[in-house]
Amino acid sequence: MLVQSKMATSMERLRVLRGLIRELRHVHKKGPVKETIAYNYLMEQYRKHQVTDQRVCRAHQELQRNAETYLCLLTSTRLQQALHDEYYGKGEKTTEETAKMLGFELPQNPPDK
Amino acid sequence: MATGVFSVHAGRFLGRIFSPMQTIERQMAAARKRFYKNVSISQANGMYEINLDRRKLKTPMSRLFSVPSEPIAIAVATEWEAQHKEIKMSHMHMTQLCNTAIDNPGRKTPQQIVDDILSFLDTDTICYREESPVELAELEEREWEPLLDWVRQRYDIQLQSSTSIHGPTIPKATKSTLKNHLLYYNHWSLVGVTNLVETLKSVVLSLALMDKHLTVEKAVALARLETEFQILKWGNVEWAHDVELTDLRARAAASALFIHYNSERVTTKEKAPSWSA
Repeated sequence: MLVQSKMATSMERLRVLRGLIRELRHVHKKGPVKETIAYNYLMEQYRKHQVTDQRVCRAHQELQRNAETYLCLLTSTRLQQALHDEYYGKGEKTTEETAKMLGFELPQNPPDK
Repeated sequence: MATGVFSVHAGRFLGRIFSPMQTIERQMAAARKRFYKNVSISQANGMYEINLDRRKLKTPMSRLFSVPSEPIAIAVATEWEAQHKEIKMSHMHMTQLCNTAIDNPGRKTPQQIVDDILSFLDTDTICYREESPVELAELEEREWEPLLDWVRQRYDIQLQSSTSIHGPTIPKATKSTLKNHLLYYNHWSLVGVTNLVETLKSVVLSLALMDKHLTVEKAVALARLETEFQILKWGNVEWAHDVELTDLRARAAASALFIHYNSERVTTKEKAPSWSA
């Protein structure tokens, strides 16, 4: 049972770490993620707190918890930004867009005879 | 080229020190374009500073931006790295928390800050219960009562919920116990606690999150219980509900990390970090 919980923790750690790296890629679109400050710090922390076979240390659990929270911060901020751009960042709608939003179409002007 | 220290006004467009009208005006002002190429961190006297190219970041009140915690500095630097074309201060939560801590625009003492935080207890979401619809009342009982049990036990306090419009009556002893607990936190941490309580609209949820009894996602879900109930019934409106959800999560996550890193005891001395400029 202890082995199972340790394994679950390893998978969890990887999931969060992968998530963090993915988010950092969004942060640093122009170059490799390894150039970000956060990436180097994160890898250092994860290496420092490797889970040993004998015990799961408290510092490791704390790192996991903080990593999850930071992942939440990065993801939420990115989504917050995307939603804002989508719904509030585009300025006024054109007449066509407004009509379409209400389910209408603008009347077509008949061609001149 | 001269290498003087230029002042960069972080947070000028959405500082919390301005009146609501001024804030709105500044929000509507043209966003500032990203003017720097590189973000780096430097250390001075055990504190961490942020450099945008060669300029040192400053607060809205023109103080040097200087933070005592390495992870926080890194989170701030990452926010500045993440700005692509325009600088969107309203989405830079760590930066804003640091600005507020450094500037202390309300000029509040720790006592005053704690009193402000505890005044939220009078209208704590967890203590304010609905009677109808019955489904909602039962949901609140199911989801929120365990939190009340937890906080009562954890802090050895009396705290009741109420369905009255006046809300619960908070015993003086409860407030004074929590006050003594909160006064152990330093000024920086208290800035984070204030932000967290304002975001979640609940002291109980904030304490639970700070004690790692809840995750950020769970705390925000509990804070939005009624909203989530309505969403289940009537459907989700992305441009309102999801905007609110991501906003709350971002603010709560930033506050939680901010509190954590400002209140842990640093006992080990680190060698030079790998990212140092």
